[in-house]
Amino acid sequence: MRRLLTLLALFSLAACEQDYNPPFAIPCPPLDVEETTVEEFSQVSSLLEKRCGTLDCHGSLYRPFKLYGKDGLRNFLPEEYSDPELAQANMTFAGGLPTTVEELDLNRRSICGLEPEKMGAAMAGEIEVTELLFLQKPLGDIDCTGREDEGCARHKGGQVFIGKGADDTVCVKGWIVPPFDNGACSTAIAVD
Amino acid sequence: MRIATLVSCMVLTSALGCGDPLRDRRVELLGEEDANFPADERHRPGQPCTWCHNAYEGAKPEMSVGGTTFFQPPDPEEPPFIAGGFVVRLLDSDGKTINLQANACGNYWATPDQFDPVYPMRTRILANVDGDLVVNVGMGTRIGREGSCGACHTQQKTPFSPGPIIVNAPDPANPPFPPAATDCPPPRFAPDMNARDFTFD
Repeated sequence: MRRLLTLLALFSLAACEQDYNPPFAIPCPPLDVEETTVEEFSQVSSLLEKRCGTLDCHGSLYRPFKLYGKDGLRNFLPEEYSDPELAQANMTFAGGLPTTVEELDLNRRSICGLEPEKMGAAMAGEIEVTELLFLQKPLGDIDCTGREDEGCARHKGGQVFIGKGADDTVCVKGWIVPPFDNGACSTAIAVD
Repeated sequence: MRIATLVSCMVLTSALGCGDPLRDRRVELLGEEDANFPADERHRPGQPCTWCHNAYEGAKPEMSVGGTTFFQPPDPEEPPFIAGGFVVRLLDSDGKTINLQANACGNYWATPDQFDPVYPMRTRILANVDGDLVVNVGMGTRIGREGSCGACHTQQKTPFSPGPIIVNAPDPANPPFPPAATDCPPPRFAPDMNARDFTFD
């Protein structure tokens, strides 16, 4: 009887076991599949660095949605954190080295990690890309009037993207749902 | 008597609870006033003006924008010194623009009545060359929300800062502007908001 109970207990435990081996991956357009993907996201990142990633906005360690880049927050070594001279020698300061591939990858993860489930749905075409928070906010699509107490997440920086059909939005959309529009990105980046 | 004491305590606690620990802490880190200089338009060059000159902290005049201009000598080992007399031109997203004249200690500012910007904002520094205002240096990025130039332009170039606002000189050994007035306080700068020493007690 005791053996039977032990066996039953073991079977029960085995039934609860879950396979955690497969890595959990956040859906995100790849960066390193081929050379073009780096070049394409580099354009998207340039746009976001310019419009969103200034040091007083999303180029800050205090922002949940962080953006790294040449003229903003830099991806720094632990030693550079408290040693400005080392950061200067390595050109790892705001305005120093051009945006690095590592910084591009951090920006990519920052975008995709914001709403991972919705990013997967947007990539699969199940929802509009403009339903993603990281586009709703710069498009000024969130009106919190009268909903301040409900935790409504207004965008303090206001509207920094011109519109849903404008080059800035088309540039970002093309990175998430191809085809990528190189011309739209170039035009959007050139806006002062 | 007990009720009166209780009510007084409640009022006092409520009043204390109205403070903003973030703002209070960052002002505390700017340090005391330099006892050797008056607290006038020359004071605290390099520090973020609007951190104190705002409705909450109450320093007068209230400012919407403010900062300090510097010049970097050719020898990078030498610290930047104050460069006065330049004009800082601001352009906001509503198309409003203003020219701010930096004083002899490099400080410039605008009150909300003069300029209440809609962000993001762009800026250029202009030099007076033979009576004409000529662009000396332009800021490479937009300003997203921070009215204090010194909040991002801290003392050194770091992963979180491009360093002070530096004006150009065609011949750096002979900059086309006088050295800062001798009665200017030494630059002080802001603590780096991302650095480890910026902690909340």
